[in-house]
Amino acid sequence: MKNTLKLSNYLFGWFFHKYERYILWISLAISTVLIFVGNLDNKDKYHHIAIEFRTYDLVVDYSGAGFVFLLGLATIFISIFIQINGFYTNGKGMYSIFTLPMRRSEVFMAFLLSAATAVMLYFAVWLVAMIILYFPITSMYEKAASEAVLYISEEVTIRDLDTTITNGFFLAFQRSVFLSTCFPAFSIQAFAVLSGMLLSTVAVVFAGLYNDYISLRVVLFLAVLGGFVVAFYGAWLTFQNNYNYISQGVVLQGLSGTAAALIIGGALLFTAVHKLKRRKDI
Amino acid sequence: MKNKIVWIMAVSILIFAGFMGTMSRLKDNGIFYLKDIEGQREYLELFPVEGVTGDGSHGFIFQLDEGQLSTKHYPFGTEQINTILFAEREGIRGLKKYNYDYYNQDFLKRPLVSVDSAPSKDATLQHTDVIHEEVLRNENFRNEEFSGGETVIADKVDIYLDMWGRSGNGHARVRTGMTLQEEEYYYTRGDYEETDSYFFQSYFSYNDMQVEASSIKLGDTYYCIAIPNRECQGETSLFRIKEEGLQVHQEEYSEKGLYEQREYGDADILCTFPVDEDNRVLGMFAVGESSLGIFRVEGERVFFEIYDTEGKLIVRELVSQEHGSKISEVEADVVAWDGKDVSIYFRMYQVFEQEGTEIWEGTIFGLYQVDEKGLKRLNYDGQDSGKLLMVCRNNLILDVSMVHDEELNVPYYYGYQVHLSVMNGDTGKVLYKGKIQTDYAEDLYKLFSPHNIAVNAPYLEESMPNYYVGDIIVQRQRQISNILPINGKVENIWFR
Repeated sequence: MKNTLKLSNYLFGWFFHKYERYILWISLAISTVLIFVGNLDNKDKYHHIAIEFRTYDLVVDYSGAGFVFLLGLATIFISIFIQINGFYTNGKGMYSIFTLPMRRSEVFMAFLLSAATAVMLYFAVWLVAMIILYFPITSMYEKAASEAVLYISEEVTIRDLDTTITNGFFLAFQRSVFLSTCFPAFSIQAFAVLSGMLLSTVAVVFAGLYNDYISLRVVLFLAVLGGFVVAFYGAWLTFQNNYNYISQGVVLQGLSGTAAALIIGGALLFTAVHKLKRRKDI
Repeated sequence: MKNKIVWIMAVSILIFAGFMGTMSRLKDNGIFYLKDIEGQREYLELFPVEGVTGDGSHGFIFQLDEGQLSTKHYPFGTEQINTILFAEREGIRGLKKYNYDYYNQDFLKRPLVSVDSAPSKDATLQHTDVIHEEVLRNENFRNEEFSGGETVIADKVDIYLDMWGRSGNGHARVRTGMTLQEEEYYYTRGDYEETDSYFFQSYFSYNDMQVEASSIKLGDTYYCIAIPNRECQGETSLFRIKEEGLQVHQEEYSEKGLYEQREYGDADILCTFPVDEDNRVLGMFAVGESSLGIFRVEGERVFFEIYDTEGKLIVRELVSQEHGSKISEVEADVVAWDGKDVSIYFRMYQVFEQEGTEIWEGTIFGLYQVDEKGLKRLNYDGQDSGKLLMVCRNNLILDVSMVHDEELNVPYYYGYQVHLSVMNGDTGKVLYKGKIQTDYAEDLYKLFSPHNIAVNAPYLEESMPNYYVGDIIVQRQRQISNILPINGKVENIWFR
């Protein structure tokens, strides 16, 4: 265990310095700019959406921050693969790692722990950023709304509207498709994100460590994608339900996806450790 | 900070757990409570109700029991929460309730009935070896190639009632006693040239004849009746048939037969009603567990009758002395409190076309109470729209409606809030009035947000009609979507 932690610390530290800190700060910076500038100043771009009454959930969803988040997350996974694969291609460091006085299963777990920490850190920093951004954004829009005039008709206009939102923080994180999907507040959605990301992480680490067959790697990449589908299926379902005026079973489909991701993730973990043990070339 | 991995994991988990814990606490922080306006809330205790409220992202099931409002939050859209509520009302618990298909389950509870026709025994028939020209005008058949066909035209047809059981493939078919003789009724068959297949079509099925079938299942027995249109003549009967009376007939319809005149199954006729221009049956529904209610028209008079399961008339009530000939649609919300006391809220409409649009004009509205003392019409003639629930019990009426709230500084119908009133069934005096106080009006500002309210934008009232199309903002308007009586079996029925 001690060796696993030591190796994972080393792997994570290297990964964070080389890739993750850039991905994190760049994605957050772009999103913050999009949320602040893109929404408030550019009236022409958003000419069909008035700025005055927009709440945080609408601001975030319309800003495109969700896409930036997903793009950043995908980049993290690609970087994890590049980092692990790099141990084979750049300097053959993988062979040195496997000569360390620890079992191969511990080596695999160290890679997995390092990757899982990178993914978890990405989610945590983004969540904190989204929570912090809620307050200035909300007060900014409340101020703009309080100064707005609502033209109902030629004869009727409304001024001095009370535009404060009761329990707005809760509503924002429930109503935003991006926030409710990626940062779920309730267990059923949280399980889906957790199991989906677990499957993707195991699959990407397995794909990075196992370089014998390209076909197996392709299957593992598909498993990474499958993990993304399970994790963010809720967003797809929300769009489907909203635009088609239907109500698809969120819970059962979410639970079956979660269960499938956990089973496949577990099977991949077992297979990866087993295959590493049996490799003769390293 | 030597072990970064452990620290990062611990802090991340702490962040997620803190966030989820905060959200769980915040879920009950919105405004949703019962505000008394006048009278005593104790009157509400007779009417325990439950319902669903929320938007496309979250909501809750609320219960108003013993005058107290309680809520249970769900992180799903209102439609999904409705499903959960219906499942719970059926006693379904656990994971199954999330996958409950209310609409299909409700459909499966009712016996499957339909009506069709066949030439009367005394009809004059014309036979030709061609497909009827009206059918060939249909665009579905216009480009088809036919090798032949056959048509029979009758000047008089009988209407049959077909019933299928739910627990097997048993079938019953009976002649209703109603006939049609205003037109030339054809039965036609077309043989496709390229394949060895054919189609059947008849005047009755091709044209929307507005003759319908109504069915009820009480215990293990089905009760069915055909509901006539204005052209039907003769009589229509209330049939009773048990599951074992449905016949599994081996003998199929004769191949390429144009119509079927045979009858199957052991159906009893419980009672018969005359049918002509002046006499019509408007509809039938269950009144509790052991009786049937029927709305009928005799000339200008409209009657409500209750029959027992043997077809014996228990009570006959004059609904109205006038308007009988005008009424063509009836809706009834039937609630059986604890399976016993029954509340029947009915609306009768005159339906007509105006400039190509079908207009439903409310003609007679009313509320019946059926309990151990008998049938009683309560003092209610309200024709207001926006009713979520209208029920009666023990001579009291509960009216749950959307009422415009002057306190809300929002235009048009957005300012409507849910009000609950309890009234005396004899005098109509309001004994209690309250409203469900919410913060839902705050959502309305987002409704305005898709419109640029800058100087050059169209006024809100001009732009609102074009707004409700596939916009995700619409899904973020909270509203109370359903209110149902607790321990009350609800039958929402609409029929002709």
